[in-house]
Amino acid sequence: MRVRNFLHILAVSAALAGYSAWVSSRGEKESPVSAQADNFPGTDIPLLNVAEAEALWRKSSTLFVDVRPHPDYEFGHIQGAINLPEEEFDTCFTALKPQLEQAEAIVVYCKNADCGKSYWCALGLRKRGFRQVRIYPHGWYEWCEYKLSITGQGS
Amino acid sequence: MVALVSRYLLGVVFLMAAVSKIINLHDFENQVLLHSPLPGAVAKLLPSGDISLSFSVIRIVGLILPWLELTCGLCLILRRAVRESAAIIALLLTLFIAQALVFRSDDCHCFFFPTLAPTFSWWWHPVRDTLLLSCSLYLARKGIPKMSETR
Repeated sequence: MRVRNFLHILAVSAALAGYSAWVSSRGEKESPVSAQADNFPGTDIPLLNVAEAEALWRKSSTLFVDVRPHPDYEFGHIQGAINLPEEEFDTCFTALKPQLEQAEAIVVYCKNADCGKSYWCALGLRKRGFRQVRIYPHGWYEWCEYKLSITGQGS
Repeated sequence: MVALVSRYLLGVVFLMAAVSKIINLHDFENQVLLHSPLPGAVAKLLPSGDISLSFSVIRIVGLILPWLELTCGLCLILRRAVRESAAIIALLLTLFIAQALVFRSDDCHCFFFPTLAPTFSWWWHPVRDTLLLSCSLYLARKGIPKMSETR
């Protein structure tokens, strides 16, 4: 066996993998909504899994929106998320609009997939022209299960 | 004869496995990240125990793995660097077998044929991989017989 052959195989594999990653990253830039992402039925609002949500969370241009009631938000929320309670959507939206407009991606979440608040809020944002909105349906409970970054009085 | 059969068997199997992942890399990544116990297991091995770091590690491995399988499969079929390709395949198969035996989950199939996986029970994968491992170890040790040995 020759070390040179091992290196050739690994180099070719790494080059192909790098090219594949570059092509897929270019595809994401050209069409912000991934063609492979699941969408909320009847809409083109993408549904995110935890890995996708976490990847977006790492980007400074992403804004997470917590639509749970204010006491739940105060107790604990995804680090960096703002609070837009679904019950107070119309009253709170005006104050938060500048922040929402600056975000390249808006990720809306509530406690889990059984709670429909994230869907309603995402639809509300979409109707107001925010095309960069996404839904993280499994939300707070799953984020905590994966021990991802949180903050709040109870954390 | 044994070397020829082993070479083509491994080459074709790994080419098919690679193509099944490459045509849908997004689904393969999702399967590994979300439907396997790997992220949690890798997080425990990391000093910080950070699950998001384990996502990054697994993402990188998942990005390279299909192309490594493709390259090794092509090398076997085209008779290039046969022993080295077989050695790399043997290493991959050893990891796949270890993973299947440790986790014993029907979800731990994602490293081979993601689209076919749900059909089989967890024990089929280490059995299949052991057979392939024996072929790869034979090739890694013997390589391609020289013409004088076949006469």
